[in-house]
Amino acid sequence: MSPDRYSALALPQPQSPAEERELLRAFLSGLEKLFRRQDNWTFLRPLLITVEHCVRCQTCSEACHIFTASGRQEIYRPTYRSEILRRLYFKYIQHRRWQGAVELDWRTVSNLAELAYRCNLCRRCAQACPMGADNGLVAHELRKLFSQEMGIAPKELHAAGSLVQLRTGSTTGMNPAAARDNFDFIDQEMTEKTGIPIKTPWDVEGADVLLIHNAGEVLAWPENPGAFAVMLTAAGVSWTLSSDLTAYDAVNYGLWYDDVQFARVALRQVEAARKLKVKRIVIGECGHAHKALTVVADRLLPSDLNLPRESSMTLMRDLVLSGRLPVDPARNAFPVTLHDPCNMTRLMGLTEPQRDVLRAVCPDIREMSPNRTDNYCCGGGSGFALMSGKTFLDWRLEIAGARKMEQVLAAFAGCMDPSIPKYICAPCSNCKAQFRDLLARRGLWKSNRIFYGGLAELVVNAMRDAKPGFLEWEWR
Amino acid sequence: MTMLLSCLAWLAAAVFLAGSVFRAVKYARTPVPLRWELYPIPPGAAGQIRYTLAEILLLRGVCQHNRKLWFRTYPFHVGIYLCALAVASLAAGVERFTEAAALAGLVLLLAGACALLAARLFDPALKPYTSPADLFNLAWFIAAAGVPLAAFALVGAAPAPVWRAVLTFHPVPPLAGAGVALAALLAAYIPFTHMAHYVVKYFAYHKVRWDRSPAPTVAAQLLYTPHWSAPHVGADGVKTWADVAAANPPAREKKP
Repeated sequence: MSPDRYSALALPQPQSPAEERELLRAFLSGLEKLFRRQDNWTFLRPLLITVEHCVRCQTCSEACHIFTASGRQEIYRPTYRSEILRRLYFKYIQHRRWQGAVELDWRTVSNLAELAYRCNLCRRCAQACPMGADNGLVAHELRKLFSQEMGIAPKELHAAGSLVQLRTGSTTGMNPAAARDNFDFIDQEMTEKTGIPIKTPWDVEGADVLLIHNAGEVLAWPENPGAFAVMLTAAGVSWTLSSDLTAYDAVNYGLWYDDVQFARVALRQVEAARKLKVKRIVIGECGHAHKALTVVADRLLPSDLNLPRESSMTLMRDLVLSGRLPVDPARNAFPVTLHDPCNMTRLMGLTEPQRDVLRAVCPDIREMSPNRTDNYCCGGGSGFALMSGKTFLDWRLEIAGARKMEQVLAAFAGCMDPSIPKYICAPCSNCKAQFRDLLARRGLWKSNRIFYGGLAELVVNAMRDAKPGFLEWEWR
Repeated sequence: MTMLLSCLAWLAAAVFLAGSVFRAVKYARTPVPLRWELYPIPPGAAGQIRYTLAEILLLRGVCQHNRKLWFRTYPFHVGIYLCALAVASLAAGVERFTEAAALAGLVLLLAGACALLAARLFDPALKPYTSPADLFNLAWFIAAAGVPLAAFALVGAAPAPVWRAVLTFHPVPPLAGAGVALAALLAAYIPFTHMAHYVVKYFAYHKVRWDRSPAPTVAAQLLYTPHWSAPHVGADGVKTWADVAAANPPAREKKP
C-alpha cells in the first residue's frame, strides 16, 4: 500500500482484523511516545512547535523541490503528512475534535509510513516558514515513530545499514581487517598515480587528526579517500584512521530515522577518538556525517567525549590557502559547478571553505542558482541515495532529483558540447551517489561529458607536487 | 451590566497575559532538544533583532515566500497591532492618535480577516487544510472588528472612547458593549490556541533554529526512561536513555 505508485517500505496489508487492530495499537502507542518527554526529549520542543502552531498557510510549499517537481501533487506538499499527524495528535493525544477530521485505519498508517520517505529532510520548507514550524522534522519524527516503536524502516537504512555498522563496524559490512586491506590497495594506487609515497596510518595515538571517511567511498570512489591520504601526507599533517568499531565509517544513518541508533554510532565514533587521544576529529566528504557528529550529537556527548570535531572542508582550505599544498589551477581547466550538500550548508552554515578551496584550484567555476544555504537538495538526501526498492529509484531520479538536474544543466549552459568535460563537485558521498544515478539515467556523461566527483580529487589533480592526471574521467 | 462588561475586559486582559505566560512556560519547560539549527542565522544580537523586527512589523517571511497571502495577512496583523497600540495609548493623552489607530486598526483587521476567511474557504491550496476551528477563529475576528465598526457607524460610538469608558467602569451603548465583549473574549481565548505564535516564535527561533549553544546540560534528560517497543531499542522501562545509547545489541548478534 502506497499513496503513489512508488514504495520505500513495501509494507504488507494486514491479513485479518486482528492484525489491523494490532497495527493501529502499535501506531497509537508510538504516537503517544512521540509527544512524551521521557521518550522523545531529543526533538519534542520543535515537534510541538510545529504540530501545535503550523497555520497551514502553505508558505513552505513552493520551497520544496519535491512538491514543485512533482507537478505540485498534493501528497508531496510539505504540510500534507504533517496535517495528518497534526489531526491524529489533536484527536488521539489531545482529544480535541475541532482540529479537522481524520480516520485512523491501516491505510492511514501505511500512507504515513511511506510519506515519511517522500521528504529529503533538507528543511528548505522550514527555512521558508515564518512561524518557525519545521515540516521536514515531522517526516523525521514519523520515521522515528515507525522505527523505534514498530520496527519499520527501509532495509537499506536499518537491517542492512545501522545494524550492520554496529555489528561489523561499517554499513558496507567491511570489518576492520577488510578496511585495512582496502586502504593498502588505495595506498598503492595513490603512490603510483601521484608519485608521492603513501602509507595510510592506522590507530596512531596522539595524532593531530583522526580522519573518518564515509566507508562507502572506499568501495565506490576510492580515489576520494586516496586523495585525502595524498593531501595529508604531502602537507605533513599528523593524522590517523581508527580501526575501532564504527570509527572507520563516518556514516550515521540513525540521523535520518532513529535517535537510538544515531546516538549509539556517534558515541562509538567519539569514543574511538578519545581512546587514541587525538586532538580533533575531521570528517571526510560526507554531508550527513558532518551534521551528525559535529552538530546533532553535540549535546549528547558528555564533556570528556566532547572533542573538537571539524569539517574536511576547513582542513582542506587551511592546507591549500596556507600554501602547504602548492597548486596549479591550470590543471583543472574545465567547467566546474559546486553542489551544496544540505547537511553542510543549510543545516550547518558551512558554505565558504569549500568555495575558497575551489577558487584556489579551479579557474572556471559556475555557481548553481540558488546556492549556499538556499540550495536545492540533490534528491538523494536522508538516505534516499542508498534506497532503490521496487520502484523507489524511479521516484528519486524523476521527481526528487529533478530540480537539481535543472540547476546543473543551467550552470553548464553554453558548454554542453561533449568535447568539453564538465565536473560536478559534490563533497558528499550520498550526493555523489545520487549524481551518479541522475547522470546515468539521463545519459549526460555519454552525451555531454558531465562528470561528478569530490573536492579532494580536484585539489590533488591541481597539486604541483603530484604527477598530473589524477582525474581519470572514467565513469563509475 | 456596565460593571460586568468592565470586569470582563479587565479579566480578559489578565487571562491574555496569564495565558501567554503559561504558553511560554510550557515551551520553556520542554526538554532542551538536540541541536537542530537552520541557516542562515542572522549574525549577532543586532542581526537577530533586525530579523525579528522585520518579521514582526513586515511579516517578511510571508512577503518573500507567499506574496498572495501577504496581501491578506498583513492588513490583518497590522490591524491587530494598531488596535493594541490604541488600547495601550488610552492613558497617554494622545486622543486623536488613539482614535485614528483604533479606527484604522479595526478596518484593517476586518478587511484582513474577511480576506483570510475567503482564502480559507475558496483557495484550493488552503481549503483542505482548514479546520472548523480555523473558520471559527476568523469568524470571531470578523465579529470582534465588525461590531465596533457597526456601533461607530450606526450609533456614533467611536471605538477609542468606548474602550476608555469600559476600562474605567463607565456605561457604553449596547452594540458597542457587545463589540468590547467579543474582543475581550477573543483576547482571552488566543493564548490557548495556535494563534499564540507570538510567544512560540521566540522558542522556534531562539531555542531551536538559531540555538548553536554547544552543550547546555542535558544530563538530566539522559536519565529519562524511554519505553519504545521495537526490539533493537532494548528499552525495558528501567534502563535510562544513556543506558540504551551505550548498549550495542547488534554487536552481540550473530551475522544472519
